[in-house]
Amino acid sequence: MTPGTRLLLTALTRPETVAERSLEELDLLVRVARMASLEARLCHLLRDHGVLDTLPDGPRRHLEAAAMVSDRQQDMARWEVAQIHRALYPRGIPVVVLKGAAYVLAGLPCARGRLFTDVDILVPRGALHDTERALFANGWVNQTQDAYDQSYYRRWMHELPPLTHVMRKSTLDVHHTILPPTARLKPDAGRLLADAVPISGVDDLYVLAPVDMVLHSATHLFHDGELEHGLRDLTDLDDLLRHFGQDPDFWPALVARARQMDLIRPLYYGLRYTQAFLSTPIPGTVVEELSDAGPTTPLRPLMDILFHRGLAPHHWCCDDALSGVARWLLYVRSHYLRMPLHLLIPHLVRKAIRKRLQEDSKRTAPVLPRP
Amino acid sequence: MNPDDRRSPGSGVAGPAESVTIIPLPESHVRRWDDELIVYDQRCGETHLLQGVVAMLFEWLREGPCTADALAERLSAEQVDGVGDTYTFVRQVLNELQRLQLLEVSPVEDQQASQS
Amino acid sequence: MQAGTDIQTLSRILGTTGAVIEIGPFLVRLRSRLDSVAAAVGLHYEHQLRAPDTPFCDFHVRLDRPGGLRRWWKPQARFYLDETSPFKPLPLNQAFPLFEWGLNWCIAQRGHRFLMVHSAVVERDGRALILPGAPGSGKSTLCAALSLSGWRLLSDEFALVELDTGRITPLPRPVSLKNAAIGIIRDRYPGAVLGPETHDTTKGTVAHLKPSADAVERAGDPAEPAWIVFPEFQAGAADRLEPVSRGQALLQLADSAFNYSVLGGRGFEAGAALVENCQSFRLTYGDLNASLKLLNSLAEPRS
Repeated sequence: MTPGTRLLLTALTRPETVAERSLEELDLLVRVARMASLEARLCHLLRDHGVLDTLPDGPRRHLEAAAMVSDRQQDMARWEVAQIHRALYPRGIPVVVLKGAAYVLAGLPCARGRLFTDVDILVPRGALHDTERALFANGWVNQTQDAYDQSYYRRWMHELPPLTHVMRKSTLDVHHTILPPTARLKPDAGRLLADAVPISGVDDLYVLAPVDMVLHSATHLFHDGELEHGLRDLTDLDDLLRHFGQDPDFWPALVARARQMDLIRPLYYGLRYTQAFLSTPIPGTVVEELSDAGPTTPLRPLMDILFHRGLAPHHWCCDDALSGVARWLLYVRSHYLRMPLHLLIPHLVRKAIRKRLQEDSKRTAPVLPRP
Repeated sequence: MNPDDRRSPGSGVAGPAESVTIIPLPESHVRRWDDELIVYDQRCGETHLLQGVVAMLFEWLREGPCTADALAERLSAEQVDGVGDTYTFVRQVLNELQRLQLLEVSPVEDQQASQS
Repeated sequence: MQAGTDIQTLSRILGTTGAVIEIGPFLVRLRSRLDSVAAAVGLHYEHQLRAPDTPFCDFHVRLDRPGGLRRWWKPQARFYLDETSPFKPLPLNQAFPLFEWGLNWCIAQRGHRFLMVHSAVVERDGRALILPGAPGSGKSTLCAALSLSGWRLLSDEFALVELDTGRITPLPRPVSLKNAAIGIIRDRYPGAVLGPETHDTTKGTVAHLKPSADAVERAGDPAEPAWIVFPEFQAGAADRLEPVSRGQALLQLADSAFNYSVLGGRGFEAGAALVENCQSFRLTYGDLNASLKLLNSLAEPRS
């Protein structure tokens, strides 16, 4: 583990130590936290531990600025969900809010300081067509111009192509399950919907049940995503486990649900790496019970090597000689897990070519940023 | 949520049996400057500028729930120029406020029941 | 390592640890091996250089030539913020303008203890004149001319409105002049210090006006806002000032602020307090002399 990663992890797990840091260390800590999208979260954590106000103005102001951005994003997420509900409720479509917006609506500890850019919802597969139409009538349009991307989403993915609201420019991802139908693991979306928990005071608006929320977080991180926000997502998972884990019934239910939903491997990874990075308290019985759920011996040390790099903040000071290769292997893995090889290879080639083309369409500097 | 909300969005508001009021807003988010009223909606981050008669109607609506007809009568009594038919004018203003999601609508019966 | 640093020393520092530049409330660590950057920093920021071992900086910027084959046939400069590259590279001769533009972006992303309005600001007798305006409105020309004729330059691009006090914090930086404005300012104020012209940028020809020593020395003195003037350049128009209502002024400020939406209710309250404490006008600007006269008349004591 590089010094930059260690600095951030120590700050997250033992916030009181930040008060002892030199200005040089705080300079690095703020930058690493920013790269990991954890600056606002660190701000809340330090405030809770009474450390924030003891920090020098320079670093403190950056953390506070990030917290302000995060506060506003949460207001916007609440408003977006209200608008989605307004569009879908009259059609009788139940909506399960996922990920960041769900943590906000459910008032979970991991919502505080959580930065996010889009809202994710889950609707019954049978209601997908109606959902898309109702959202379209209320200003959400599909801005995927490229025909290949369109058919990629519709044929292989577990979501509609991302929708953008014409007025507010917000992005919405509509899922009908939590992993693509082509993925190796086959969780049953029907069970997720059946056990979803209503958000109090609002009809037909839900979040996932605690065990499913944890499993979704772990699955998204280890079997679906490209680890861009690896450490941020890992801290979400850590927070969820600490919060729900206070209930002793939670742990056996979590393991049982993981087996039932065919998500035991992502749970294994989730617990292994939250514990390694963030010292998450996990009952010994649970670790024991999952001992057969991980990869076998030759693969296990390799996955450790990959994830220890892939989950670290993507910042130059957190990188070592293997970081680039590790990230690339994890990227290929995430796609491999999502689709069979004969579908994957043409897709990755196509993506690589397009990525090169897109480099040229990057933002030109000489325009002042608009909010 | 009220089951009556399962109606199609965009349908007219404030029928004769409905009373309307402005959603709760912090005092610091509403400023009155001469004939201008400026309103900040924290939920969506929008800032609205209301002028003249519209600003006046907004302030009346903030006083408490009332029906569109009662508003129109009150406006007629003020004898304001340039609004044309007061009923049509009030309805247009209410529709616009509803579009901005600044209105709370409740059935008149509820209103009377809660008052008695 | 303050004023008087020779260009070789500055180049060496820029190429190794990076030079630390204090720009109003922000500290920037700039690394670069480009000669044009060293020359421009030496010219414009000579009195704002701080010790290279300053432990904390707000922005860690590097300006260098990107790698790759292209460097041999089309030399370019790239802006790196903490080793990530948020923008496309530009032709090498635009390196310093790229630094200034990139720094605007950095400040707009992070300076949320202020309501940040895209605006020029000058001050006289402790009272600030805020000139919000889009490119082409003439705000930079007016700002340069005012700062060379009795007003103190607070900022060319940002009105930094302190959320708690409502005062304007100075951000003394070179004023970016474009196209015809360069000649106008040079001719009118022979004492003005301008950097080299950079041609063929997306904004045409650009040259930077060095802020006065006074503006730099008084970077720690904020000013009370007194006037908000929205300039609109109209070639050949008769110059005039017309009052703008508070509501209209606030909407226009919100529209030209970088972080109005980030600040939420606090942004609204800061903006509302600002228009309550200021007189607001629309300036139709056709002739520099006439417009300067109108703006100067604002600050003259009423008889």
